[in-house]
Amino acid sequence: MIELLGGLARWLGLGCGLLLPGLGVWAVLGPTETSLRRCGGLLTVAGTLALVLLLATQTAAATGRSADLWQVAAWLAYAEDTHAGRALGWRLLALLAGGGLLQLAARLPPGRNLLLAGSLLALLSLCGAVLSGHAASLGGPWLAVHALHLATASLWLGGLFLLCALPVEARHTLPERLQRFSGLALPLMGLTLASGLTLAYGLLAPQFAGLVASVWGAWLLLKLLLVAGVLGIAARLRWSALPRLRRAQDRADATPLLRQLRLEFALALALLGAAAGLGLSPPGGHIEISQWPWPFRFTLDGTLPEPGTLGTLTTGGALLILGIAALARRGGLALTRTGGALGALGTAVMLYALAVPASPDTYRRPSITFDALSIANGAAHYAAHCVACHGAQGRGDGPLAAGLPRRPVDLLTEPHTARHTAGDFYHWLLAGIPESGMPAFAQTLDEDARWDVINFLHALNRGYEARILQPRVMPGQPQARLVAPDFSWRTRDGQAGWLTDWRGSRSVLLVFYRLPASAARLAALSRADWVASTAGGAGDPAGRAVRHQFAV
Amino acid sequence: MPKIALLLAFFCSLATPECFAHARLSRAEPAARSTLNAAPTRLRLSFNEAVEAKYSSVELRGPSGLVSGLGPLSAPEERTLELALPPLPAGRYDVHYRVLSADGHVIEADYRFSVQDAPAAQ
Repeated sequence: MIELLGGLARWLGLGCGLLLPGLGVWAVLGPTETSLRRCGGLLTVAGTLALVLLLATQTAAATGRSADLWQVAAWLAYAEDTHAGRALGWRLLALLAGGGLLQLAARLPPGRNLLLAGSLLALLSLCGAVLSGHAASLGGPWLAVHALHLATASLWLGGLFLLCALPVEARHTLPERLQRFSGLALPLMGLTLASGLTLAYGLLAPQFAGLVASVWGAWLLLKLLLVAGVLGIAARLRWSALPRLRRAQDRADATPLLRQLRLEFALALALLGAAAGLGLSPPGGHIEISQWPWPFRFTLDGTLPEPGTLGTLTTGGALLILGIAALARRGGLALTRTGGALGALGTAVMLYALAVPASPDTYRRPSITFDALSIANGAAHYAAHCVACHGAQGRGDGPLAAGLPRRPVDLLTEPHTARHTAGDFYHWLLAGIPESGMPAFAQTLDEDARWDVINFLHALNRGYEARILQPRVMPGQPQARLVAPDFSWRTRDGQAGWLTDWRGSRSVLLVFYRLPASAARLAALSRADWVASTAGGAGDPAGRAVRHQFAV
Repeated sequence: MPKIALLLAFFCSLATPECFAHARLSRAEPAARSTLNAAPTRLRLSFNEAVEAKYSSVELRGPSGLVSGLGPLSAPEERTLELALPPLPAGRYDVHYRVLSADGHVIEADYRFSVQDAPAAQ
């Protein structure tokens, strides 16, 4: 109930918030008859109600009490005490002030400054949404991209609405107005689309699978579908209907044009619904995909190193280019069909080259961090359940391996692990691999234990990679990318911390010791004069000798 | 009509189960699944985004049920929540937190840690 009301409030708030500044700016640019006076007040009131409803639903969700949906005191406390509440409060004030100024401007003799001030305030209210939107989690520049997306969408939607709401007595001017609008709408839509796609990229990366395996992704695809519909109508209006109408202007009837414009506006309203859905759902790149719906996935890392992949990709790319070239020729239906078929075949060949098998758990993320405790637990589970077949080092050479229908794979070699995600390993532990004789461990190992085993295998694999490490780190030499497992520490005087507290900030020399056996070695280390050559890392791009002190 | 049904089925197939995650717990003290030699005196939860302490809550369940006497929840940093713990006897503890992210979304999750009897002094 609260979520449904929240979605409704977002949709209504977005619609009114986009239309009001758009109407104001178009009124600054030229005469808009009575549209602003007639609709401005209604949009301000509806937008205000939507923001109040949004405040109420957010308050109830934050406190976990449905009764707070109706408690004004609870709303006010939320608006005062929280970042999201304060942002909503400022948006509400800016909307009321902007709407009021626009109403004043519409009723007084034409005053551009008043219109401009009202439009800017309404725009400020609209763009305030970015402060508590998903883009806020990405950081500063993304807020600007989101604000640009909203502002350009507002101008486009406001202009479209003015054309749809043109009074009967002014309809004969529709072709000229549409021509004028079309000149501005094209760059506006281009900017809206570009900023929207940039935002979508930011919210998906690096987990692009979220596009086809999340509610957020479904809303985004629906939105893109509606955008395609809007663009289709706009293109038809600009390059087909409008020239035809202008050619026969004397006896032309603007009704079909108006019908198409209204259809475009209706699609735009549906598009806002999809945008409200996007705002309510967690972004596709931020969620855990616990149920991947397809038996395959696409990967560059896992397929490019394999022989033949580059050749298949090149063949597919050539077919695709041929198809596009055939389509561009516009040489009749047969050539169009051939071009379409070649393009589709080329795309399919390229996708096939990049596809690897996947399981429902492929994109499941480890719920246990890669730390020393988990690896130690995993080692114990591995010794108890896995070593008999997989061998002590994971090379697939355990004592029972020879009797299995298929010899276990070598878990240490990179080509094998690059094709599979941690989630794939999780799935095999959960469900087993019947064709190779591996049993399911769903009953034997709980979720934590399964991730422990995977962390242990990860550590084994990283240790295997470390064999190419040299005593000296030199620029240009192949390096193993080693990530040390995290662990917590606590000193006798109560200080505590984690290894990762230092990650990215300074070099850490780990010394493992056991007292009293290591006492002499520690004393020797403390006496040594330490000089380490840095290889021009992130913290020291020049590369120089650094003198270290070692304290015990 | 079949085309609409097909389109609806396509979008329904995309709506696969997922976990709600706007802010995520990035660090906990005591650490998740850790076994401590001495009872901790404070609980500290760090998140990847800013959180609102006033609209957040933490419950601790121990061997004898819900632990009472937890200190007030404070936010020493905008991404961190902290509270003082009463003396905890040995046993397994489940931490349940409900947190309001700065973006207005609520997250809820659990983790556990254990306290074992202090080793006898030699």
